[in-house]
Amino acid sequence: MNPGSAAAYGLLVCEICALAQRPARAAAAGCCVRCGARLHLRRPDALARAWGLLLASALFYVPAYALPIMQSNSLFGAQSDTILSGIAYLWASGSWLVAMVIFVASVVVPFAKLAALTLLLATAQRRSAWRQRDRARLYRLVELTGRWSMVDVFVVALLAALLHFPPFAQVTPGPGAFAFCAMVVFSILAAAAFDPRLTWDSAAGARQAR
Amino acid sequence: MRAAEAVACLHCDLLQRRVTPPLHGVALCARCGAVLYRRPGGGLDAALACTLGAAILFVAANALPLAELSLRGQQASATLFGLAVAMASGGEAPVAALVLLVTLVVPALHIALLLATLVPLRLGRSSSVARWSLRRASALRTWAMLDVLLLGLLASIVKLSAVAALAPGGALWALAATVMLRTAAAASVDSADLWARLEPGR
Repeated sequence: MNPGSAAAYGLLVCEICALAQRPARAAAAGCCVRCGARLHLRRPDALARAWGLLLASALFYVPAYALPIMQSNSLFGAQSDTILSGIAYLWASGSWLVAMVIFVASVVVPFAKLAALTLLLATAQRRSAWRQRDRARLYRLVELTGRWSMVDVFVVALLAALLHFPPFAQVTPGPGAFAFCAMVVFSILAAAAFDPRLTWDSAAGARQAR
Repeated sequence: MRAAEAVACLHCDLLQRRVTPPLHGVALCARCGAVLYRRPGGGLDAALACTLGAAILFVAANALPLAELSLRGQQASATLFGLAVAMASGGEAPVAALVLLVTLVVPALHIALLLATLVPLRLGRSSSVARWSLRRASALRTWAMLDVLLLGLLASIVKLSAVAALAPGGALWALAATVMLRTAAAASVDSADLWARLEPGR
């Protein structure tokens, strides 16, 4: 455990209400004396769970971008849009701001998140002391931005709900929507399973503490 | 260090001495820079008022249409619940369930749980119900996606107004106000302070 940490003083910290407490004081076994949440020194099996969820998320990246997220039918024909072709269409039709918002939320954020979580998990697993403060900042960024990827799903939902004039014009969601949601949900769960405190439980720190 | 003076960072576990930040200020972890706690100016009354307002406006956001569209003389409108319905009738039941959860069920639950925390506190009681509610509320926070929904709605309205005659509905304004009030409520009390007031036996 890292020097100066609550763990090094024999204290467990409740992740919900932030109370630092001695394990023996806990009233019900393993639960916080103040709020009753489960107490852990570190989130249980954090690395194994986070790797598993990240892998599950990664499996959905290809179908999420390759399959159509929505289909538009009109009298003039049918058209399928993937996330990327939808953004290209918005850009070409002059809605640059909206195109950029959707591009950042549904392309930049997911890929940056996949890379960031891989980096955080790999360095924590090797108990590396490399740029710990930057890694801490990166984790907070991942936690904060992950949910914004859902924007495009809500766009498709409103288009499908409003554009329902068969046979003139109709929008229906495509199979890409499911893959995209699965990708986003698994990556949010992966970030939640990882324990940022592992970033600081470095091998160098453990040697120092001895 | 006595336990009462010590605070541990939830992001790096560093145990450090509790300091009082200036009003409206924050205390950051000395090592990793995460926010340890804040000292907001609003207080319990402001938080309760904003959460009550958010509850009322969220009901309005569900009752009114999000947007109305006319095309070739036909009218269509969509409600918040209609978003999930459209996904389900398009054959995407799991997506519909997720949309229903993060735009309606979880936000409603989150607001209700916050009220179940703040009302007893405002009445000067520290009950186990309030503690249970705040614990559940903090676990649900990530999955209440009204702010993301609002961005998505604005984006699709811009997208649609290029091809059809579209009028934003009352629910859009109600939803925007709900998001703002929820943000204001969260900014007027610090969860560390709420937990200190909820200490059993107080």
